[in-house]
Amino acid sequence: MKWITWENVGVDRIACAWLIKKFIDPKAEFEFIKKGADLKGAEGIPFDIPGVTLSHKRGRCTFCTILKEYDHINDPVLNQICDIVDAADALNDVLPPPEAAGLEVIFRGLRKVVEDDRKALEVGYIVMESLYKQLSE
Amino acid sequence: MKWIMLIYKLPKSKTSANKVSVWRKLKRLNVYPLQDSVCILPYSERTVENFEWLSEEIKEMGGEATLWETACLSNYEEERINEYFLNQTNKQYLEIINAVNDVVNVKQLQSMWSLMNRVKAQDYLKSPLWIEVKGALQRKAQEFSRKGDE
Repeated sequence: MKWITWENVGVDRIACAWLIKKFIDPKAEFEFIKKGADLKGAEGIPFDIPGVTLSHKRGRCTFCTILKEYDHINDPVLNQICDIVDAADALNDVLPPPEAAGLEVIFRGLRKVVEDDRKALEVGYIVMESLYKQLSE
Repeated sequence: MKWIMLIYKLPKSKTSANKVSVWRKLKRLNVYPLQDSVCILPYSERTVENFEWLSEEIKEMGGEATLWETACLSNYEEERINEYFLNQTNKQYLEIINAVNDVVNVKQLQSMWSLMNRVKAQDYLKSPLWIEVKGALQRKAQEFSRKGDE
């Protein structure tokens, strides 16, 4: 399946791409469109783009939305990651988990040091795997 | 200097949890309210993203929101607004500095440290006062660790 999102990925989109590839669609391919570009004619499932189904909902991040939408995924560690991404991305930081600020900074910087979004997702995947592994222990 | 401006209209319904969530986020972002439903922030990757999603949240609840990249044509006004932003953060930084002396244990010190970091996240113009807050808290931490060593 093809999944579409805006270019210049940050913490929410990197985390979502990992979630999609690991738990929803192992063959997922990601396509990046310009920010604000028209989605008409684009084939695939859009995510983390304002106005689409898989996007911020009720003030919470897209990672939370996807986790809710695909409710066959039942993994308490993912709920923990959801809180981390949410605090990093969506101003829900009354009680931010300690990992949130660090993850946000790293992913904001990541896209600036790798050549393109595809590479950012690749590297981001490893970081997310590490986070998941460590929180599972 | 570039600014990001949010113009919004909340739905007419009575006060709801949704509305409160938006108000809370505007407050957390420490926006400068230009008019009743118009507010600005210094332009950055992060402020744009924050406003983008806030706009979506407003539209999701049936309100209206548009975002504008904008410049102020009056130096005087711009300076005034810059001062507003600096004063807002400085006020919070000063509160922390003034309270450091009353801190009696590490737990309190740690909660002030996270308070400082929360303020810093909205310190858009990078107030020089931050270094002092950090210094004051670190000195206090050293005091505690010396006491612990004794």
